[in-house]
Amino acid sequence: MNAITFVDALALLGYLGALILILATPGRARSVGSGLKYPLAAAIGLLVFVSLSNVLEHAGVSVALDAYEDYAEVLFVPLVAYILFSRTTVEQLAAAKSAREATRREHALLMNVVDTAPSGVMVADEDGRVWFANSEARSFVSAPTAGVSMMATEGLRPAVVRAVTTAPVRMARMRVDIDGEERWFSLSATPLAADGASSRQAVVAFQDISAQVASDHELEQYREDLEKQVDRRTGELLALNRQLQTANETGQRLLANISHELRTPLNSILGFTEIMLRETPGQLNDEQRRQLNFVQTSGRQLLGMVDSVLEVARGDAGRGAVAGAPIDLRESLAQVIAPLEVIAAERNITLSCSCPETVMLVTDADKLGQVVRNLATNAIKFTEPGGSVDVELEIGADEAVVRVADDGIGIDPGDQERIFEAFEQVVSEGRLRPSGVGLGLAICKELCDVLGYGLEVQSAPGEGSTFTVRIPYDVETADSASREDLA
Amino acid sequence: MYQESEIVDLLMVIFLTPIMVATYRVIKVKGKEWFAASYVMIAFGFVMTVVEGYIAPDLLNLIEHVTHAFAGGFCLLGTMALFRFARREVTGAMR
Repeated sequence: MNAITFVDALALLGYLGALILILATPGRARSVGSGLKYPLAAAIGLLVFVSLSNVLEHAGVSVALDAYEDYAEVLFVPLVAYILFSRTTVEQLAAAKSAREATRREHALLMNVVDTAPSGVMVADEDGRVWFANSEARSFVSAPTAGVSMMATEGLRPAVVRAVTTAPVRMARMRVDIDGEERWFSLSATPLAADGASSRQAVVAFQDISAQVASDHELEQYREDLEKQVDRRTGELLALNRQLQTANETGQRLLANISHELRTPLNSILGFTEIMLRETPGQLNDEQRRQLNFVQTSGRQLLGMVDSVLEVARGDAGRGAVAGAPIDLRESLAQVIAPLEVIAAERNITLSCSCPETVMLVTDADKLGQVVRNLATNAIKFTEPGGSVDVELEIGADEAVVRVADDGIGIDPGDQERIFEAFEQVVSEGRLRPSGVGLGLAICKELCDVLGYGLEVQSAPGEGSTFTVRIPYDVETADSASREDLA
Repeated sequence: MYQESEIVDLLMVIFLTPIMVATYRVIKVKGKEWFAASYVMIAFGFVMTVVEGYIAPDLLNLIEHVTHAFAGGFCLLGTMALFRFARREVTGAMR
């Protein structure tokens, strides 16, 4: 066997093996198919024939096949070309089929989406012709007749035409008359690309919003009515307020005048009682002196009440101007407390003043003194004989605290807000109504507000009360006040 | 000297091969690289067949037959790849 014969034998073996394998390949496999298997087998078969012919020829066995070898070789290349082109065609057809199927599925999905939408959706042109309508829009479209496409119903057509011609439009409200009934629609339109269409086309989406519009109108009407009502009521309230203000001013003036007029005869009563007690007109017996003392005590109490009423009237009328001046707080408190010691002693009550340190500050000494005097007097009034009242002064970093504490009857928590109101008095069970008109604490509160001080109360029934006045001060001002005072 | 059929073979190779190359990129057949190699060998053999009529006849004739041997081998590899893929596809091994 020469070299060529050997090589041809190898080629024959290769082609034969390939032919056997391709014939054994399952033709039902999608990647092969009969369209590939048999033409490929034919091409390989040609090569087997050529190789066999060469082997027989070069081995010197036979040259009988050589005459046909050329035909086989000529057929080979076209056959391979056919295999390639047919395979390409099959694959392209499969791809086209797959794409068509995908398009069909997408179209079905889109139609489901469009048909499920609560709005009407249609493709219309500027003549009112409708080329597509979803299920919601079909009730506004006339059925197609011979030679005439679908049309928007007569009532809706003008709105559709307007939307198409003015597209793009976004949620435009349009009034539509349908069967003589006025209805409102919200329309949106997006123009479609021309694509050689004879007339302008647009996708028109619409929704019947008649109920919403009616509701909006009702709401608007209601709002207008409400505004008118508010204006009317505001006017009434302003008028009422003016009347109340006038009445209040009149009342304040009357109160001030009455109180002032009361002071004159009271001062006369007290003055003449004092003269009689000094026995200037003549000597008094014991009974006369006792009764005149009653007159004097009662007159003083009445004068105190009148002064309180006057103070309230003056404060409310805005005439209680603050007169600031530097004071030594401890000294000022001592001056206020000293006269009250006699009253406390008469009631067998211990009144003490605990002021270990002091501060100089600028304030209205009269008003502050009145606050402390009222609190202390109140404490004495509501403390049983044998009890004690303590006035303390504590100096903090930026505030001075004055506490008036007693171990008297105390105040129920429910009454602790009420006691700062004018003419309010808390009457404890089993006790007589206290003397006075219930203005002391109201005046304290009023004065503290004017001075910018805080006033608090801590109390429990039977355990006494502590009133705390918080006097904020500025350190620099206090130092300055101190220097001014020294000067 | 050459034969007429050899010239026809050569012409078909020359004119059809470029078109087939363009198509080759598109089709999806398992083992197509081996088949392409086999075709190239055969086409080269056709060229050698014509050329051997003018120069180095013995050498080029040997080369022509060797290309056929290679073409047979490549063809066998291509069909093996295709066969295995198709079998797996049919038996459901391909997922």
